[in-house]
This record gives sequence, structure tokens and C-alpha cells, in this order.
Amino acid sequence: MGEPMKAAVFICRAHGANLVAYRGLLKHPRVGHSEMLPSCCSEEGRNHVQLHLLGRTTQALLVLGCSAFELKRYQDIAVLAGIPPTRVAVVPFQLRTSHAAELALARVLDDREARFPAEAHSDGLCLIGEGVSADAAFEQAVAEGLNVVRIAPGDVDWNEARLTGGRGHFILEAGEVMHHFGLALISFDLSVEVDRSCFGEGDTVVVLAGGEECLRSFVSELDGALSKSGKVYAVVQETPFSGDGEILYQDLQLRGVTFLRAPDIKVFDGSMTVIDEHLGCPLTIKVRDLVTVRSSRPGAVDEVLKAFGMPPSRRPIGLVPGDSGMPGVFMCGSALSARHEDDPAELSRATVTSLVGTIGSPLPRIPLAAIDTERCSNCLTCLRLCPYGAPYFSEGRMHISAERCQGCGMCLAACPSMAISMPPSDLRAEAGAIKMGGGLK
Amino acid sequence: MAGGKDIAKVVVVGGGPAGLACAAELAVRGVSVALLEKRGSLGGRVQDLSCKGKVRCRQCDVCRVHRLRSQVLASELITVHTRVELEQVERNNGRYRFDLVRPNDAINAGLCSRCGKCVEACPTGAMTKAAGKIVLDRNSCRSIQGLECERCVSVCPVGAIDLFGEEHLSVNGNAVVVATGSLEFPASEEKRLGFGEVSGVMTSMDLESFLEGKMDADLENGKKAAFILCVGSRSSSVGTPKCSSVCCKYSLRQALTLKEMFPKLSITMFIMDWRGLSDDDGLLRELATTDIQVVRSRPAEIFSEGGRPAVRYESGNDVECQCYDTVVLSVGLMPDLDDDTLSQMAIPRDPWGDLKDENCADRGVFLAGSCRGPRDIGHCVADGIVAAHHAMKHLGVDHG
Repeated sequence: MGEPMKAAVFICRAHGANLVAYRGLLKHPRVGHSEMLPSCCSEEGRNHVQLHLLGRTTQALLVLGCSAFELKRYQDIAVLAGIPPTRVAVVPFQLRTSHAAELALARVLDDREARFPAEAHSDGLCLIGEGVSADAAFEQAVAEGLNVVRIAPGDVDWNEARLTGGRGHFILEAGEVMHHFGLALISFDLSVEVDRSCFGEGDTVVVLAGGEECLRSFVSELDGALSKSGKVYAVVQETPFSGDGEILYQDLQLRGVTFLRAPDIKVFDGSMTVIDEHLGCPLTIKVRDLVTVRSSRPGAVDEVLKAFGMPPSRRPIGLVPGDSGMPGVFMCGSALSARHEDDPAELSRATVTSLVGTIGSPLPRIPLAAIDTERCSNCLTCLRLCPYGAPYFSEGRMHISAERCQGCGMCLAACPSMAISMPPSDLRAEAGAIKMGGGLK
Repeated sequence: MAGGKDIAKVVVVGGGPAGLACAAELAVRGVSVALLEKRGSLGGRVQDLSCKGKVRCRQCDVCRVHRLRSQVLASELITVHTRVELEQVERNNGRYRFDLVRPNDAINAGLCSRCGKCVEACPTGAMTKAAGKIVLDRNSCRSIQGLECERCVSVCPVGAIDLFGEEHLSVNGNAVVVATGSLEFPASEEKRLGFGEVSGVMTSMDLESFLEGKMDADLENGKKAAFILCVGSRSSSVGTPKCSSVCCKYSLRQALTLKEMFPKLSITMFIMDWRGLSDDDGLLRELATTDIQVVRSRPAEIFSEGGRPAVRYESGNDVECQCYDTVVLSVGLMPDLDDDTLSQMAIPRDPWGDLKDENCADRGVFLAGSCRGPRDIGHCVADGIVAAHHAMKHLGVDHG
């Protein structure tokens, strides 16, 4: 690309705090034209902007201090002058900071064009996974009227599969079949297994080896045991009954279940020895039935994550429900979420619902972190820290991938040599707002 | 209505994480929303919370709410009504009408000459002069609390004070999302823990203010601090038998953040169980790398010894007593039983006071967030999004 793109900046309500906040921006090298609008948010003001756009060579439009409602009108004007709507932004007067203005400028000037033509944009959702969460997600996607394709993990040989493209245009080649989709949702649940072994006479012991995902089976096993004769012991490491579950926990205790908190148990010929952490002394139980409830992570998860180029330990990172950190890929289900919400199915429904707004919209344009290679000491702190996997090391230097960087600002805070820069640093609320296209419309 | 189109309107009651998420989600789908909030600004309890991942993200989700708030404030489909109190709710042909009252600013800034006579006259110190402006704290004003006073009104030379001015407004909606949230447990109710009596005992919400830099506390390198978990949670004696499901997680984040700030601060955590955390959650693993001491015991009492709080607790078969500089009580969540909105809308409660969504969906009322039972921010946001979906579906049925 030759000459870098420049933006035209107009200031509404050009007085007092507005002027102070925006003055710095006017000298910005990428601002091609700047002007105070005599009267804002009116026919006259818009004519003024239009006149400028038709005559000059700026490729983006930024209006500061205006009402957010005006964005659509400015976009209409810009289209007449050949500027696409994504290159127009309004910083509403409520968000009157130079930082917000700079971020908006970075957004409209962002040169990262989509790497594929607009007609290739797919609004399809590809759901990969199995289990209760995946079922709920599929149901929800159908209810929301999304164009959803479901791939069972067994359908594809993941080691052979090849994923190309990016958000809005993923292509998954798997053997003979080729899937084309805009967003991917990976959903797996931990599978719960129950082992039973029987010894002669004695009491029933139910051992829990897992988290809240095992709770339902665990409780039903205890229920079953209570209906038989003999004492009922529940051996746990931590009682997994958070929130409303406490009621269940107390109820089970009232009904005669003895909870033992023991990190390890020894079973020998029908008698079991546990050391309860609280009692501190070993307790020997004569066991009739030994039931173990445990959970395991389906093996297919790792294969699918690998095909998507993500490490096996990847978890959703918050901010948007199910956000995997890789643009366009989302994850839900108890195998992928570190938080065992009591209802993973509900969480996956929320994830799918929140995708509806994302699926048809263009790629988000965001401020990026940049590394000053002279200051950088190659300590790799950012590499370890980044939730999106954006920094990478190559040819003896650190780089930040523009594709992956989400402008969260974490590396900025952590860099010991202060080599990473980004539009100014109060990123906590504002960057988030802009990232979502919320603060600046 | 915005855009001039007749779009069905949803009333969202409560501007906390769930309410914000719900409103934002609805607005993205082109449904106009009226968001009602009792407090002066949006965000609910999260406004008082601090980011607990200043160096490394610990997923406390506080920033998530800040983001949602900006999104809601910038959306043209969402009308935000803050500082409103509900007068009554009426249902007519499937439409809900909320009659609201908003108290006006007690001091008319246009008339006020900032002479400060009212500040001198006020017996409770509710009137203060800050940054050249006179501000009234409504909670400590005698007149507003129903006592006779009005001294400021009589002393004002320009007649700029009107303590009882209010504005009436009404909001209509075809569906209602109730996201009224919960209250934090008032630590002074658990008498044995000495909150408010023993100096150095504070609640976790006070600690949040400290982490935000808004409050002082006796926390620095070389001092001793203790966290007591499950205060107002899992204790039937004070009427909160449920597990709050949040205080393990936030206390752990607070303790780790403190450790990061003051590496030489000694921290002890008194816990019952770790709840809502799993082994592969980073928090417990991070805890293992620090020298934070974890004691599995529910302290019996906190008393003052030489001006410092002392904790008496059971350890094995013995009773031990330890002195600390600061004791943080990690308070749980409890349902808001006096909320007038909820009784007017006849939403059933479970025996523990949390709302149940029986018969609610049919009449266009949906519940979201911690009014349904204690839950964390991330869960509340997810809840809000799901409630938005249900409300959309309800509107679709009504309006083809």
C-alpha cells in the first residue's frame, strides 16, 4: 500500500471540555482534515461534512462529540462519497476523552481488510461436540433461526482435518467433505462414569472423584443407597454443593449420609480405611457396596482443539460468553469451562444466543498492541500471559500477531521493559466498550 | 419511540450484571428496552468491586460489567431510568405499566448561590460543600427520613432547596425481565464476629474499597491479616442456609491480589470448604504457590485484644486464639425480601426467599441473575442473555 489512509475529523459542540479532550488528535499524522462544526447534529452540519467528503481525499470519517444517534446519517453521507460504513465512527459526547477518540481513529483507519471477499462471508455456525451442553446449544441455535451445522466428533478424522480461513470464512477440510462456516462453537461435557463393586456385608460407601458435573449421579447413588439397609458414607475431597446445592447437602446429611473428607482411601478385602481430614484419625468401615463416581474428559476434545490450533488447556476467557480468544471460535460445556456452573446447558444456551448478534456483523476492528523492538528484552512475559496467543517469537524478535491481538491490554500492564504500546492505557472500561462496538457507534 | 417504529418494549428491572446483559442483548436484536435502576448509576454491586487481576487476569469478570454498561449507555434502543422508585405495576391486556417516581435534585443548581448557609444549618451534616457545589446526602437528611427538620429550607436566602420535589413517569412494556439482584449479608448481624465493635474487622466489600484505593486499612508488608469465609452463608442461625457460591471465589482472588501487592503480608484463610472451584481452575493452583495459610475451621468469635482483633477457633481438638491486624469477613449474598417490585408482581419465592419462575413465563415475566439464587457475575450475565432470549420469544408469540 502506498500513501497511508487518512481520516477527516469533525468536532461537534466545539467548546470547553470537548476542545481540550480532542485538541491532541487534530495534530495526529493520520488526520487529513480537521474542522469544528459550527452547528452540530443538524442539516447544516451534515451538509458541511458532505461537502468536504465529496471534494477531498480522506478515506475515513470521524465525528467527535456528537450524539450517537447521528452515526447512521453520517454513514449515509459517507457512502455517497465512496467511504464504507465501517470507516465511519462517532464518539458520543458522553465519552468525552482523548483516549476514546484515539481508539476510534485507530478503528476507522484500521488497514486490516478482510482477507477474503465479502461474498465469501458465511453466516453459518458450526457446532462441534457432544453431550448435554452441545444438545442444548444445537436446540437453541435452531430456536434462534441460525444456520447451524452439527458435526459429531466421531464424523471427522481430526488428525487429518485442515482448518483454514478466519472468522466469517472458516473452511474445514476433512477427507472428502468440506465445511464452510462463519463461526465455530466447540462444546463438550465431561463424561461421568459410575463404578460399582460389591463385597459381602456392611455399609455403602459412595466415593466422589470429580467436580460438580458428577453431582447428579452422586446424589442419585446416595439416594439409592439410603433406601437399602446399613449406613451410608459419602467420601469426597471437597463437597461440590455450591449455591442452591447447599440445601441438597444438608438434606442428605439429615437423611443419614455421613460425609467424610478424605484425600485417599484404602480398600482391602471388604473393609476400608479412610482418614477424615476433620477427625484426623483413621476410620475403618466394613464395606458392602463401593460406588465410585468419576468424570473424565472426552479424548476427542484435545483433537478438535488441536485442529483449531489451540492448546489443550484452552478455556473460555470471559468478556463474551464462551469466548475462546481465537476470533470466531467459541467454546462451552463442562469439559471446556473451568467454572462448573451448576447448569452448563444453560450456559451454552446463553453462548449461542449471544452469537446471534456477532454472526452477521463484519470483523471487529480494534486497537492493537505493538512492540518496540529496541526496548524489548525478549523475556517472553507477554507470550506466557496473552489469553489470545497473539505474541510470537520469530527471527530472534518478538512480534504480536495482528490477527489474534484483541487489544485487551494485559501485556501492556505486565511488560517489564515497557516495550509494548497501545493507544493510551486506561483500557479497562473503554477498550472493552469499543471492542464491542458499544461505546463508539 | 426510538426509530419511529412500533417495536415491542421490554422493561428490565435492575441494572446489575444480569439486567445490563439482558438489555444489551435485546438491543442488539432491535428490541427497545426500558432499564430501571434504583441506584444513581448502572452496574449494581459491581460498581463497588475492584479489578482483581491487575497483573494477571483472574477472571473476576468485573470488567465485563463495565463493558456491558458502556454498551447499554451507547445504545439508542435502551432508555435508562436511574434513581427511580416503583409506585405501582399494572397489567392490562398483556402489557405492563410501571409507574415510577424519581426524586428531583434537592438543590436547584441554577438558583443556588453556594453561600453555604444550609451546610451550617444542617444538624446531621447531610449537606456538604464539595468542589464548590452543595450536595445533599439523602440517606442522612432528617427531613427525607421522615423527621421534622427543614432547617436548610428556611435558612436558604434564594429558595433553591426543595427536599420533596419528585418527578412521576411511567414506562410500558410487553414483557418484564426481573433482575433485582440480591443483598450482601449485613455482617453486623453475626454478632459473634464483632463487626462494628472490634476495630480492624471489616467486610469483604470494605476490602474492595481498599483495593480500589478508596479506603484505608491496616494492610501492608509485615502485618497479619485473616479472611473468614462463609459469613452469612451456610448458616441457618442467621437465616441464610444456602451457600452463597461467590465468597470462596472472590475471597481467594482478593487474598491473591493482596499477596501480590504486599508479598510480606501474612494471610490466613478460615474456610469450611472450597466451593465452586475445580482443580483445573487457576485459583487453587495459584494459592498453592503462595504462603497463604488455609485453616479449615469456622471461627467461634472475634474479640478485641489490645485493640487488635483476635480470632478464637477450633483446631483439631483444641481451641486456639490468634491475633491479627485486620480480619476480613467474606460476606455472602442473601435475597432482598422487602423488595416492593417483586411483591407487586406476585413472583413466588422458594422457602429460602429466592425467586422461582413458576407461572412467570406465561405472563411475560422472566427472571435473571442473583434474585433467583446466589450466583457470580459470569453466571448472572449468562442468565441475562438467556432471559433476553425468552423475552424475545414471548414478544414473537404476541406480535407475530
